[in-house]
Amino acid sequence: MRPKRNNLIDLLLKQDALNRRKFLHSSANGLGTILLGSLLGQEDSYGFHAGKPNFIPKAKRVIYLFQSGGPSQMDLFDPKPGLEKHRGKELPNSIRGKQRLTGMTANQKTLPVTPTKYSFSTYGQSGLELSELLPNLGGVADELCIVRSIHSEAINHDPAITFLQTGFQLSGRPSIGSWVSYGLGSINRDLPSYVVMTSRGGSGDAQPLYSRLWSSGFLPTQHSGVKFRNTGDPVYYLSNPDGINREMRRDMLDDVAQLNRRNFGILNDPQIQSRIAQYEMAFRMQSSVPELSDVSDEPEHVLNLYGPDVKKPGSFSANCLLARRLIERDVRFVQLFHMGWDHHSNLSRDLPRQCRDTDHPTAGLISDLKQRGLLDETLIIWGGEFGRTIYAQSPEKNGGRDHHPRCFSYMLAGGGVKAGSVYGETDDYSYNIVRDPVHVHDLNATILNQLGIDHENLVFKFQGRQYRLTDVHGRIINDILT
Amino acid sequence: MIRILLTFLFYSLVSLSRGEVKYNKDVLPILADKCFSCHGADQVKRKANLRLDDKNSAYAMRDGVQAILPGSIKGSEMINRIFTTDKSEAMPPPDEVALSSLEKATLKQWIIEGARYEKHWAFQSHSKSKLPSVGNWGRNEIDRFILRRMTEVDLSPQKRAEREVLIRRVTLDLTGLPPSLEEVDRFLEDTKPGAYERVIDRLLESPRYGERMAVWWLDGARYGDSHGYDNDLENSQWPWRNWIIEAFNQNMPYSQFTIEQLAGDLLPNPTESQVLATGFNRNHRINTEGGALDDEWRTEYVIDRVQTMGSVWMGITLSCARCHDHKYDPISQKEFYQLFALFNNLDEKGFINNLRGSAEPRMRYKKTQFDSRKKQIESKFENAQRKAAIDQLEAEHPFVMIMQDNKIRKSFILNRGQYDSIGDQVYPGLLSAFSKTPKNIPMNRLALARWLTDGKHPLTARVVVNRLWEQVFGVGIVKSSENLGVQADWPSHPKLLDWLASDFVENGWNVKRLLKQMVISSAYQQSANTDARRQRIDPENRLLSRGPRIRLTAEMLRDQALFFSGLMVEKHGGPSMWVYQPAGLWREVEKRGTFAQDHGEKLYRRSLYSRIRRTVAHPSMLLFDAPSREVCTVRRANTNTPLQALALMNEVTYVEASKKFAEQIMNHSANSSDRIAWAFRSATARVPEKYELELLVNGYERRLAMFNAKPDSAKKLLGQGESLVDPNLNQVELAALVTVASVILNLDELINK
Repeated sequence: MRPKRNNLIDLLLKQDALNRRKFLHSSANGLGTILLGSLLGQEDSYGFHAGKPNFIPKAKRVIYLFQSGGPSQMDLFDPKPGLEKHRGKELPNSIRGKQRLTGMTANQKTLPVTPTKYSFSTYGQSGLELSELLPNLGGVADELCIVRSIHSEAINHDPAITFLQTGFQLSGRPSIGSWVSYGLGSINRDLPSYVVMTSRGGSGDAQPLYSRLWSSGFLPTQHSGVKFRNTGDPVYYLSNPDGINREMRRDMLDDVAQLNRRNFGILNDPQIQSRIAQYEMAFRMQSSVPELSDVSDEPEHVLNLYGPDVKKPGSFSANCLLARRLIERDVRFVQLFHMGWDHHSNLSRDLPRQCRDTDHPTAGLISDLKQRGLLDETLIIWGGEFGRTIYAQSPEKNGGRDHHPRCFSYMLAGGGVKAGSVYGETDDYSYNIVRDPVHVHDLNATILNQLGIDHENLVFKFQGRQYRLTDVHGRIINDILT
Repeated sequence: MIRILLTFLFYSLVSLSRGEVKYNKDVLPILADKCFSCHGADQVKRKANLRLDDKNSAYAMRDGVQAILPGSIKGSEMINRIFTTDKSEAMPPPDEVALSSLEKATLKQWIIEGARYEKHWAFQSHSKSKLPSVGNWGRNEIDRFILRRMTEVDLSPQKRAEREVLIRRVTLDLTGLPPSLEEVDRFLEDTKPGAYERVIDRLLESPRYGERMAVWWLDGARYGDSHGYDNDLENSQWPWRNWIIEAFNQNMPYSQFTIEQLAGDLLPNPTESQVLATGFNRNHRINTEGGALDDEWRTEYVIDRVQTMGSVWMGITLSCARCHDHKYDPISQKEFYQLFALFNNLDEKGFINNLRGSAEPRMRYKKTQFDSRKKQIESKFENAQRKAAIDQLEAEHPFVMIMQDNKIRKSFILNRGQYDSIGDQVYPGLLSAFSKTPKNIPMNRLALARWLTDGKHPLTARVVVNRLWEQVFGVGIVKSSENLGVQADWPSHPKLLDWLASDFVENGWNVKRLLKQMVISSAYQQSANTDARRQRIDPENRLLSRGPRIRLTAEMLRDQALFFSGLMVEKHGGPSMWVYQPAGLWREVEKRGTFAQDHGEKLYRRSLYSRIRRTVAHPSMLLFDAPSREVCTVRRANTNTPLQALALMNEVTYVEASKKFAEQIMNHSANSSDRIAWAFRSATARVPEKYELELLVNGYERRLAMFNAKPDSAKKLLGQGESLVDPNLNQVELAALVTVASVILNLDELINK
């Protein structure tokens, strides 16, 4: 019987999708990548809407050093030398404007202007200004690009960090690393394309992190960030149980594979072949991941770059070193979350501790990548979910600063950003942006751009709507790019 | 490649010239995808005041031109714009989206044929069409539709699956657990007609049925055991989960199930159970982060209720209308806030610092029982003893969050969806585009629930029938089961969906009956064997040219392992358990995380009862696509990854299950071949073929030799998990059998149903 037209169209459309997929594969190969490399999983069951490298990318990979809690911009990156004369005075209403405050300071009686107590110096040929708390970063100042005019919409941690990660304040959307994994796929046969590591800061209480921050949201689950752990197995369930060694595992897997192949011979279900492949990759990961985490082959002078904590498992420093090893193996998106920047009180005790955790390793990572010739193709991003207020919180006690989404600073390096430069400007109180604002969506659009992705093209249809990391916004900040 | 392209072009031209382009099926998906964002329902974003989703606007004369002049290519400006080479004139704007040549041809043909609009199919009421009459295959009505579609593309059904395959498939589908060997044998020995139907009836009466269905419902209801923000402390909503399990087991009609969850408290003289049901709308997360703004978050909860109701019952994305008129579906922003007004009347807080347990309004679980037991305790015990007994009692009868209209608030349109940007006042109301609003009753949640279940609402029955179909067959008749709106995927069998939806309503929204219709169909009973032709024409098995073969859910995988091992503790209902999780899981993400794992039988309850801490999902559940339950999830992904292999190979749950399974295998007989044959059959329900058995026995012998060389390793392997093995058994043989059990549990055959 002849098929009727409607069914034919169905078939043709399917064929169309298949052809398009093939095309994308081959064109991406031209760029030396495997598009949508489904090494970590099957083709999704949702249909196919991935973006593609729209142009030759500036950066092949990203190391995102997320500083959870909200580092204080005026104490680190945004000097306001003229502000000292206003110390202790009430924050002028003209500056404060209609900005909402959190429940923590909304009812505070005074909002006294509290300039930083740390001095700033100029570094390198670029003359970049950095706080005395970041001496090591000063040493690589000519590689850095400081953006002083990032702004966000959320004022509490959870929505703010979710917004940075997913472009939306409420949970449920894919994280930036998942978008990249979905859009570009994996370039490594034995490791996931999005890896996450966490570390705790030296200061007191820290805001918790949530697994949704690296979740794939509505994207297929294999694009979720795979968390490499500080203790135990670097990847969940990586090690064989006690009593089963690698030889025995291989022996067992051979049995599994043979029985699966036999079953495939009867059922012909291609899922079975994929299962066999996944088990083989799991076996390879059992050796590739420990090899990756074993830093005993690193020479002393390299370890020294990352500072004294480098041998402490789970420290930010140790994670920075692992980040380098991961990107050397072509993991595409590595994200570190360092907790402990939420300094509502005791800022003068805790901020220096956090800086000690991060300053040396971050600078070391940049130098290490530079000397290996990897910095140009690796985009480094350093920043948190918002900044902090110029006025003191609980000024009468051991004062700190409250959340401030209206302006905060990010530090970028490598990956095609202008080295030794500063972008954006805040007012005299580091309270409002007066020049070149960069919205969170702009930052995310720019990150994708460096990876060769047009942020407007990277879409996924879910619940009948096309979704993007940048929603319907996002502007590439060309002025910070080479 | 060239040949494919030529064939492709040939067929598209031939087929398009036949004059059968349909708006809903062929045209709407193109317009919705490529045009409506500027020429759709959203007033704010609309360009040139042109709507292509509205006939009158599309046909209207503007500045001497018409976007669409039915029947005329020359007179239709839309066609000129689509085909022009002038970039400044071209539509859609070339730098935004592009139409494929097939899409262009379709639009053109549609206009030639008269540009006839149709109302979106899922927004029209459904009815039963005449059953297709083709062939003589099939057990019930479902098969008539399935067979016709297959015949159209020249496919024919597969043979019936082997009984062993069938009983495993249907037992997993209806109870979430595999069949026992005894159940398999009984089915194989039952040679009288109706044997399979008797299996189905038995399964539907099992209390395991309600547990299996509850997992499905809990995803949409975003049920979790913690509040979901900041320190993410535990809630005590589990009695609501009990309600769900019991409602499924009692086969409560879906209409009643809906009414009680959405508005049980508003029924006349509601029972305790009816009020408990309303916990559905309090399962959303609650912000407990210091400094969070009360108003902002209270608003989010109300919006969450509206969105969740829209996804679960109507299969549409209401959230778009939070900020602006819906771009695709006929829902205005004002209507969104009319629904908002229905869910906005409880005296609740938006922010509660470090909340543990439940927030107001709430009720004591089974209060009558609680009160009388409390009296007993107070009369029986003294001091410390009394306090302990009362603590225990309160844990068994916690407070549960429920709905209560105890603070009637004014509601407003929120500009751009912002809680502090208040627009015009709105009053409680329903959506005008779907079904008539009931008259002469108070406009509240009960009116909403009755409107959804009056049998005339075009979406309610279609949505649930489609989602249950997805549970059974792997893919919904509408693949986008979370969305049946204008942007939905075209159904594989539209008339079947309508027939089933109408039949479901006619028969009193009877869920068990509907599931029985599905699993007793010949389509379901087919063998899952496929071949190159079926794969080519029907790669996703949407035409059901073979039986469904789907990966087990995260819960089923763990439950199956517990079941074979004999470890599973079957107790129904009650609070959730802390099962094994990787050491340090919480410490890595927070300072305060101290995890106190449960022990003993609490480790071996069905996965439905594993505690869900929403911000720190259990890694292996997550790996197998279980949602975090932070927000409503209507469709789970189904992935196949290496990390899943690692979990099934190495997670303590699965190693321990292999260990206890091995113990049973060893106790079964003395001969290793008999033992392994029994193990294989227990797990797969079928007798192993000679090749398979030999392979497994050889593997056993090899690894036995390895353990014999290192008896220490055997001891270590047998130490996995908290349960103990019989020390009188030969420990080296037992360890070698553990590896056989693990091989079996890792077979693709076991991972799929």
